Formats: sequence, structure tokens, C-alpha cells
Amino acid sequence: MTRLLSVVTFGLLSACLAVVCKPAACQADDVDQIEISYVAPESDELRPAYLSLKNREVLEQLKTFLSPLKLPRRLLVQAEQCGNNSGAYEPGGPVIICYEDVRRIEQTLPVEAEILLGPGALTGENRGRLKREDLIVAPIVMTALQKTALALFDILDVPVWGTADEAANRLAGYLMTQFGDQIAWKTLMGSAWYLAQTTMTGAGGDFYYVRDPEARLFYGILCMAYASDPKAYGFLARNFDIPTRRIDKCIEDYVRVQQAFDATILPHVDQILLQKVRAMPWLPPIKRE
Amino acid sequence: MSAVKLALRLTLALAVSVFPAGPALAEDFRPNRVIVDYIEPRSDSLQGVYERMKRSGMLEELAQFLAPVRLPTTLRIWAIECYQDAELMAYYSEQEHAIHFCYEYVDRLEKSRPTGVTEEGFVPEQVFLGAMVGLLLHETGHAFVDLLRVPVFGREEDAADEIAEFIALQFDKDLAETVTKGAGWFWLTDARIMLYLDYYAEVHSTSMERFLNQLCLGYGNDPDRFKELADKFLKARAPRCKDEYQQVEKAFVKTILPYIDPSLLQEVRAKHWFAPSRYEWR
Repeated sequence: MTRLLSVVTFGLLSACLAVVCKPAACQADDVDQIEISYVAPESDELRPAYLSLKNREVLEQLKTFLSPLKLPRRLLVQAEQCGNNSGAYEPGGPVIICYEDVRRIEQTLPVEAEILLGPGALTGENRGRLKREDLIVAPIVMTALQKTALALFDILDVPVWGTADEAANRLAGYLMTQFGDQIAWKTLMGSAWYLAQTTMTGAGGDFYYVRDPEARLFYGILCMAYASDPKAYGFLARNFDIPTRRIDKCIEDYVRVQQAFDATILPHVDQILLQKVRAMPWLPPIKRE
Repeated sequence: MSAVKLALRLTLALAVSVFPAGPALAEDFRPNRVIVDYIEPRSDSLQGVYERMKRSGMLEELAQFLAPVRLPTTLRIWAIECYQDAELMAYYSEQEHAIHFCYEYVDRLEKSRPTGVTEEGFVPEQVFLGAMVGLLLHETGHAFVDLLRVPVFGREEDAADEIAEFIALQFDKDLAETVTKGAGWFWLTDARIMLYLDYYAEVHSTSMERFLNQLCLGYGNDPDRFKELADKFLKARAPRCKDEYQQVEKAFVKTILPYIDPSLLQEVRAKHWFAPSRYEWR
């Protein structure tokens, strides 16, 4: 299938992970629509997660990503210790990234420096391996995009059919396919790898103990990857990572999300600013304190 | 949303609903574009179902019910033998702009419907008709997504369930109960199976999720009417159902309501639809 890459949405996603462009220079107008904040955690156990986010400039990148959007109100994106609060997006509220989620992600990391998967693992291609850094960044990006998607639905008054969480998951997955080949590989497969670790709490016949939303998200991410580039991600079908009966539906799903994005969110994107942020480098090396 | 509220919104939406913006203007969106056909089955075992369906007039009633929706082309509803998949119940074909309503599904319902009132309070005649109408409205939801270009970020199958349930809730309370309980009974019955990991790769929600999603919308719209089932099944989710209903209401108002002819809708709303007592099904 022809790669379903929308130039404009590609640009929007480019902005997501762009770091060269400083936020002030990337704003659609003089007013910062996105406010970011890292709130230092009270718990010492969460300090590594706090530093992990801060050193990777995750919120700065998210702010840059959102900069081409013309929003009717300011949006606060905040990293914080959530405690008993789930950090779920509430209408009118901020986007909250929980340090607990970041800690959970880092706790699932493999012992190895990198993992190999897909045919690229045999041929030595970059798309065939995931480094530990990729396995940290990918699920953080996924989480940030999911929560941001919920905020965009709210702020832009987007009609949402299906559960809001599922819609946000799909939009996040779709956006990850727009990062270009290498970034799409890292974020999609890194997220899928993470979900595979956290979803399957059983083994063999005990798989019905799966955590439903994460299992669905796992397949949703695989589906978006496959539909965006059936050749590169064809191994997901050949290995039956995606059940055969779902394969065709993956492409239908992808097209639906693409159409919905074009109809509801794209009209709120500043096209000129979009072009500026398209050429930026993404996922830079972590800065150390 | 209550019927009164919807009527108010309909009035406010009149201007846009008569002349939908954008691509609708370039195409010929007209009401009264639903046509029914019964395709005779090859299998002898389905002849009885075929005859009973024709006699019932249920599909013709559905076509009248959907008459106010302005569509860009004819939407066909075919009662048909589906052959290829015993589990197949119905589907919408984008190529044919047609809902295929499978005789096999009706046959399955005839054989599995309860013989008396169930412990959950499901009444046989009501759930039998409600399961069929609910499924037909679900496929109608797919047709709307396709023909009206409804933007769907979530799963289309969930969207179709929501469209079906929301429509059913906008008319008389009997229709709301017939569809909600009919679909609910079917999914609840189907939910009593073990699920494995790869089930979550399916495009549909699990049967239990579908039951609870529809019940939640019904409860969110009319807590008193669905209180008994909600107390038993929704539990902690119940307080959120009003929000879930409002999310669907907003999506409907923004994406489908502009395609509904207000004057025809008033006529449709004045009638009593899909009353189980009118269907002898013999």
C-alpha cells in the first residue's frame, strides 16, 4: 500500500519532537499558548523520574510540538507527582504527566543495551533494533501524546465518537506514524514493547487476565504501524503479532483517523509555522545535569 | 438528552440542517433514501426466517424511521443469507451502500431468545425485537459514518454502537427500552465466554463492554428507566454515564444532526416505533 503520509500532519508531528526551534520562536503569535512546568516531587523515589523528564526536555518538546496549533485558550502541561490522582485529563484542566508513570516505564527496561526485532534485526538495519534510550522515550512520548490528544479534543471542541481514551490512543498512534521512518520506528515499536511488558500479566492460557485497555492499546499501536507502512512493518502480520483477521481493518482504522484529523484538527494548524518546524531534528541525546 | 432538549436543539439547528455546509452542498443530500429488499435465501433452513421477516414489515418500518436523514445516495437494507461466516450477523458495505442483515442472525435469535422473563428482567418479545432493531441501527451508524463523512477518532464499532443507542434514546421511552434491553440482552448472553489476549485485537469491543456501554448511555439519558440494570451492572461507572451520554450527544449534534430534515423528524417523532406488541413474528 502506498504510504499514507500526510505532509501536513507530518509537519505537525515534526514539531512534536523538535528541539532546535526554541518555543518562543515557534509560537503562532506573541502569546505563549502552552505553559509548561516541572513540579519537583516530594518523594525522593520519584526524583530520578523527575530528572529523567527534565533532562530530556520532554515538556519543552511537547510545547514546540503544539506550537503550530491555534488554540482558543492557554494550556498548562505539567509534570508532577500524582500520588493517588490518576493524572487523567479533566475538561478545562491541565495535561499532567505523572512521575509515577515515568518510573514505571523505567522499571520495565531490559537488562540488555538494546533489543532486536523484525527482519531488520538480521540485516543490521537501524529499523530492527531498539536501544534502552528508545525504550524509555517511546512510552513517555506515547503517554504525553495521549494526554495531549484528550486536551485537544476538549479545547478544540472536537466531536468524539467511541470512548475518549480510545480516540486519544488512536490519535497518539497516528501521530507517531508521522515522525518519519526512524522516529516512527522508535516510538511505535518502543511503545509496543513497553505495552507488551505491562499488558500480559499471565502466560499461555492465562492471557485472559490481560489488562484490557493496555491490550487494546498494544494492538492499536501495532495496527497503526502496519497501516502506515505495510512493507516495513509487514513482519507484524507475518509473525501473527497482529491477528490475520485484523490486518485489513488496520488500514481502515488508519484512514478513519487520518480523515478525522484532517477534518477536525488540521483547520486549527498554522501552516506557515508548520513548515518552520518540519525540518527540525528529533529525539536528541539526553542532557545530563 | 431529553426529547424536549433535542427538539429545542433541532429548532436552533434548523438553519444549518436545511443547508449543510461544505461538501454537502455539492452533492444531492435528500431524505427518504432508504430502500428495503428481501433476497430469497438458498438454504431451505432459512426459508421460514425469510417469510417471517417479510411478513413482519420490520425493515420497512426502519426505512420510514430513517426517512428524515438526508443522504447523498440511496441506502439499501438487504435481508440476505450471508453464508461465509456463521458468526456474521450483519454488515454495512461501503461499496454497495447497503446494510446486509443476515437471515442467519435472525435464525440464531429465534433459537436463543428467552422463553420467559429472565432473572435480569428481560422480556422475550422485547429483547427479540430490540436485538434486531439495535443491530440494524448499529449498521445504520456505519452507513452514517461513511455517507455523512462523520469524523471518527475512536473505534468505528464503538461509534456505531453509540449512534444506534443515541438514536433509540431520542424517541418514545418504549423504543429506548426495547433497543437498550434488546441489545443488552444479546451482548450479555454473548459475554459469558472466556477471552484471550488476541481478542483485544478485534475491532469490536468485548460483548460485556458493548452491553455496559449501551446501558451506560441509556442510564445517562434516563437514570430512572434503567436504574435496576444499572444498579446490578454499572456500579462505579454509573456516576460517569451522564458525561458519557453528553459526549455522544455533542458528537451527534455536531456531525449527524445537520443532516436531519427537521420537518420530517417532527413527523417521525409523533409516531410510536417498533412496538413489540405489533409484531407477531409468525
